[in-house]
Amino acid sequence: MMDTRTQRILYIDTQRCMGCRACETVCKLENDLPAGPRYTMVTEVETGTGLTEKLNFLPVPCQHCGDAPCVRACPTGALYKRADGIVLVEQSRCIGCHECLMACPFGVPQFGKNGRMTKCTMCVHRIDEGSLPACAANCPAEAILCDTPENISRILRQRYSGSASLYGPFSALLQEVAE
Amino acid sequence: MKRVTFDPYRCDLCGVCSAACSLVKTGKFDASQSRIRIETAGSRVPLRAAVCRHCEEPACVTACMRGIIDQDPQTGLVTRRHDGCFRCAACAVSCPAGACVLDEALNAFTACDLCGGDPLCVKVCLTGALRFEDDAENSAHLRALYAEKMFEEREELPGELTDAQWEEICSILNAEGLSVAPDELRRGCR
Repeated sequence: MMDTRTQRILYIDTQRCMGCRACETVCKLENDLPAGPRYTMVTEVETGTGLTEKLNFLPVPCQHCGDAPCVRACPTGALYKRADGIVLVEQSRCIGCHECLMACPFGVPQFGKNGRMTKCTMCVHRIDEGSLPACAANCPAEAILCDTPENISRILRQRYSGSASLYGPFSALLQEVAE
Repeated sequence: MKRVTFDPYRCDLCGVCSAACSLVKTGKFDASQSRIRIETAGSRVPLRAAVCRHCEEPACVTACMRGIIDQDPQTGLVTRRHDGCFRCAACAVSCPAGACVLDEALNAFTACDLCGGDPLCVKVCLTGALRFEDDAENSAHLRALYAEKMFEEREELPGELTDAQWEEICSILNAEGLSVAPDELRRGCR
């Protein structure tokens, strides 16, 4: 089994997320979800007071953990980790016991009308075609990254090294304009 | 459907839920007879609540060879008839949540029945660790908790219950027709 150093993960650059909820919308469309289950959800957190007061946004899709607590908690083996690290559910084996939701620190497991567990698949059908998950491909701020931790780290270093302290999240953009 | 959900970050292990449950179900304080038990990692870290999840496809209904565990097709509530149970423990063994309890007075295995749709354990949980909510609400709550942790804006965790809070719990129990003094309740929770 691949571990989290080499598997693809979804990373959220919270400095860039502006809470437009495009990821939520496109996820619902891509996975043809009815009202109810949300594979990703943008949460809002207020920090600071006075001049430092700020509204932060964090989209929470499945983290596809290396040693996933939901897979350990599932009593029927309906949840499994694919060879490339994506955590998926075999709905026919699910008995709707909610143990995965109790175990997940991120509140990711969702339950549809049929009471069976369903969750973010990292758009496995798109990954197999060689394209990015719908949320990562459609984020206007490029805040959602889907890659190996190594590559994500490289992207973040490009974004925030050098003039990062001066221009914050726009340093890479300014660099592009300058070039 | 709504279920009893548990937030381990807010639980201070006061034991009021188990005490109130055993009191309303059996008439005395006995945590071993409670339909809800808080499981811990070590002795001081709350981990999960062992309480009936009212599964979509309950293993206990399939496991029971007397056929006395039923699932309501409309509401999904899992109910039990206690006469006829010969305590084979098949339900307890197959339950993914570890929610089945051997009731000494009924001489049968039993589990949480959600107090008919208004669980007492949730009402007496003043720290807000136990909630009665559906899947979407629970998931949104857990996601918000994670986001708060990310931005280091987690609200102050509740400490020990104050004397006023013990009295408040007693008044909630009194309203249910269970007269308990705060001192009695404190002893029952230990």
